[in-house]
Amino acid sequence: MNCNKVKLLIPDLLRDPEKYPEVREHISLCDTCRAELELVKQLRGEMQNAFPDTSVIENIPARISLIRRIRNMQARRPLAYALALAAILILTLILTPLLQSRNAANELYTYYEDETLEAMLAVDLSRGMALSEDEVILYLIENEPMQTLNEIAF
Amino acid sequence: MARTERKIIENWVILYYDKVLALSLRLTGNQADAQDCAQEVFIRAWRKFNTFRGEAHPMAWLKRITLNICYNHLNRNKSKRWDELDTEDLEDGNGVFQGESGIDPILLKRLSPLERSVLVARIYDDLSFKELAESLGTTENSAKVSYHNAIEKLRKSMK
Repeated sequence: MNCNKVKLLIPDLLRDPEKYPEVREHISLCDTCRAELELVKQLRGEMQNAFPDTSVIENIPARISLIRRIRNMQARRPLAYALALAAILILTLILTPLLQSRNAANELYTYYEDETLEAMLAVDLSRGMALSEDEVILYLIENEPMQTLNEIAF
Repeated sequence: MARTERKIIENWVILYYDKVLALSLRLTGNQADAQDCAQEVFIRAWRKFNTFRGEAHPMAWLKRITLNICYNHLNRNKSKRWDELDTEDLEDGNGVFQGESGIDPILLKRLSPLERSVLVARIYDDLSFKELAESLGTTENSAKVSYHNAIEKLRKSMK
């Protein structure tokens, strides 16, 4: 294996040293490649120092804004969503009052306050998975004042 | 279906936003650009969700989108990129190399968008040259040459 090939594989070697015995062997015998290995190691360290992991708390507003942006975009998708909405409305009118009440709660899901969304995201982050639709509705019923629920949803 | 897709993307925002942001920061070099790019990554992932085949880990897919978006961002801002380096960033170490090792931060920032993207994704984010080439719309050979050039520039800066 020549130096050029070895140099290109150095990042792979750092990730999984056992997988590249030929590269390791070459480096043990070649000063130039050993120097390159040290440089790449140093760069990795430098990047770690220059770009420390950002805190989860700092990123919560950014996540909220991103999720809102995606929901707004979905809400604005033209024809396909207009048809889907029409279908949902027809189904809602046909189905039982129980379903009607559930749809009202789903509407609320789109309009809950930042504080509530932030609290739910904290729950999501602590368990590494987003709340399901049912859990969101339950959470809102348990945590939002009934007056607010009535004002927004019904 | 669209609602399910949206929920999946929301899950990914919760699970992977930090990682996407960290990679964007390494690629763009500053917080504001990194935040913009990270947001764009999830928007694009949602729009192109039908192209996610589910064979790879979601983060592997997001990494490739991030690389593409940040690379395009660097290219768009090429003229002002390194010359308008924020001196406050240099002072507080926010998004640039301070370099006790002697690496010259100005030189690092003078790497071309392709060199910087390849270097960062290769040595820090473990992307293969094949993945790099696909994400950046170039060839494997071009990615290898850019990696080599970037390393050489940095090595010279340390002499």
